[in-house]
Amino acid sequence: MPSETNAMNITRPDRPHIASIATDHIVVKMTDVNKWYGGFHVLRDVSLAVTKGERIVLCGPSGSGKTTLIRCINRLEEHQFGEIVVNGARLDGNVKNIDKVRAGVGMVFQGFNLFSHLTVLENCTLAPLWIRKMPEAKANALAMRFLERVRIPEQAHKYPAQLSGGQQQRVAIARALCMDPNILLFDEPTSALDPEMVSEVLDVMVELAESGITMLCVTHEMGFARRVADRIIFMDGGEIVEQAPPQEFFERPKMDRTKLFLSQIVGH
Amino acid sequence: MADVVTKSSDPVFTPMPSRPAPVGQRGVIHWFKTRLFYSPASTIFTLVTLYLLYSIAAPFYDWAVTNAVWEASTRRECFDKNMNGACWAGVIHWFDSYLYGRFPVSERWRANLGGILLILWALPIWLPRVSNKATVLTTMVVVYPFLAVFLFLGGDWPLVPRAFAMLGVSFLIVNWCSAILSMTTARNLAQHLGGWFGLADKHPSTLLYPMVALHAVLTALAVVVSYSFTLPYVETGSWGGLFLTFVIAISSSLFAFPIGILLALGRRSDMPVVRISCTTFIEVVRSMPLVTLLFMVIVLLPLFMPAGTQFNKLMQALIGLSLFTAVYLAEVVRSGMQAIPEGQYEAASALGFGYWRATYLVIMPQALKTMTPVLVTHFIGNLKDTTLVSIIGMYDLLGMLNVSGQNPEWNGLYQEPLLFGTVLFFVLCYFMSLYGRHLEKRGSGVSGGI
Ligand SMILES: Nc1ncnc2c1ncn2[C@@H]1O[C@H](COP(=O)(O)OP(=O)(O)OP(=O)(O)O)[C@@H](O)[C@H]1O
Ligand SMILES: [Mg+2]
Repeated sequence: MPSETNAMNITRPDRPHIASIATDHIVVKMTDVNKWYGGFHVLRDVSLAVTKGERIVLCGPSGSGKTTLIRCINRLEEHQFGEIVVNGARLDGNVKNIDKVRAGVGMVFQGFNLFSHLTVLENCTLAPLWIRKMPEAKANALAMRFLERVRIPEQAHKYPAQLSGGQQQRVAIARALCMDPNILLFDEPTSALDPEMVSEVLDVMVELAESGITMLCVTHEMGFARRVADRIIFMDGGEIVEQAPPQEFFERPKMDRTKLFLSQIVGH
Repeated sequence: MADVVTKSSDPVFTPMPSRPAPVGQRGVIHWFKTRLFYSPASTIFTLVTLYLLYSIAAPFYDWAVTNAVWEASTRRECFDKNMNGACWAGVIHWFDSYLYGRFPVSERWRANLGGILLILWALPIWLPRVSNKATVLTTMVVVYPFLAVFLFLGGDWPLVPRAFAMLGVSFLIVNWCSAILSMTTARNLAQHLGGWFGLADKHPSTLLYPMVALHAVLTALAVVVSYSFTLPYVETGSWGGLFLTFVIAISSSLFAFPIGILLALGRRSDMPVVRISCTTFIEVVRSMPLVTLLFMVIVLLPLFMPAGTQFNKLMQALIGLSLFTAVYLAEVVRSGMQAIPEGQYEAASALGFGYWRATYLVIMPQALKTMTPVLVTHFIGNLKDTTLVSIIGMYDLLGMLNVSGQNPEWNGLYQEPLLFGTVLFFVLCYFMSLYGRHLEKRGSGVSGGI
């Protein structure tokens, strides 16, 4: 399978462990995944293997299926054909497996999606309390730890509507981290933000990337991609067109579609 | 908002105080001039309207006040005193009956006590910093009715139902202790008890155990005490008047609430069978006039029940009214839920919440908050709809207002009681809608509560 060999070939001097990939380190494995919206073929034979600790950036033109792809990983969308295995659990109709996958996969949305009737702290503790059945004091301490990590502990008792977009997105990241996921999915986390708030969120994401968590991130922030990605995946028309480490991707793209996309982004 | 402020003469941005308007352009006379007499046509219209108002109000005033009779013991006596006046003596004579119907005079304190207990029960909801509001509200719907029926109906109760009723006493006491503790110490009773029993570092649900034990003890005590007296049995047929109106309006609203939520969820369900049956039910009941539904419940329900089942008209009316209210509530809840963005479900699912917990913890609290003003409007409507039960032969307030005119001594006394009823309903509904408007204004606030 091309994707797997690709993943195996990646070597980065600064992250030697990526090179020593064995199959049991694969946390997300998609094989020939196909998905349709009615008659519209959104994902076409997508195969992808993500190893533990890998940081992947997905990019591609609008409507290419990036959102759909990462939403299939935590089953917010159902795929119709092919196989997706996340943390060893196969995503099919089995509810137990879905629960297991969601327990290990955190997601950050473009529109933050914070619970508006709860305070920042309550947003973060809701899932630990009700799903992990954590004692309240422990959940609060945990949430405060992550709120400190995204640098907004002082906002803990405010409601989401009282925060700026950048702050809300950082709360959303903290909320996802509170469930102690080993994989984090980001769907254009900065594209709903005013320009001056983009960097505060990206800074948090860079820090996260350095902590060794597996990340799949849809973004058009190419500076971020260049800096933290182990692999950049370019999608178009529901297919994975090209994937390569950042340097290779930006400097020696192989496919014409990639070149066109990159020229548009640079020209932009 | 800012536009509106600057356009009016408010000196918001200008440091200079605004000058007073020229004389002749302010004050009462100016108001009259610009609104009532600003052109020949408007002057004529105003005068004609005033004349019409006067020609209605003057005779009414004569009838209701000037010529009114306040003291008499029969309608004939009223007529003897003044043929052209209102016979308020009749309304005064029947006043207690309008409030309680044929509820035995010596037992009316029980109706009053039930009302007072309900107000007491609900009160913590309006107090600040009370952290057990959800419990107060749920128990009011689930537990209080048993206590109320125990009080109103009286008679000999077997142990199990009696225990349910006395659970109400226990909850009333515990809810209040908890509310007072959470106002004064920022922790509610469950948290205090949990602290004493060393459960603070356990999951919050373990805090339930000491509470359950507490309720068990209090309920047992209350049951023992309750055996020391017997309340005389008052059959539902003799409940009446404003008391019955309240009983019907409040309980059908309370019952309708959970049914309405379930119907709304069913209508949005992914399962076709559930969705279609809920939708059909809602549409059928919604397209039926309430009177028809009430008659159907009275006439048709006995056909479905095993032969010999004793039917209680109050129960039947409650079923009819609850279903009727529930389908309207279902539509309110559905629209409230539709206003919640899809992203909220997705975020909850992504965190691992299943359908029910996402609905309970994330969707409903937000939906209910946006719905509160509409809900209040519905409850007002429900209070007024209640009067239709008089058509199926129940003596609610409207029923009682008509009864007095059929009494031989007060034969024909209809106008005065109906006027009294109109004013009473107006006052009740007006205050409820004022409250609804107040909620609407507060609706955009971030903090919870009612
Ligand atoms: N629920 C849906 N029903 C039907 N079509 C959909 C649905 N969601 C997405 N699509 C279509 O599927 C295609 C892929 O959508 P997707 O959101 O995955 O693209 P994307 O790569 O994330 O694009 P963008 O950069 O604009 O976010 C689009 O053409 C979109 O119109
Ligand atoms: Mg997208």
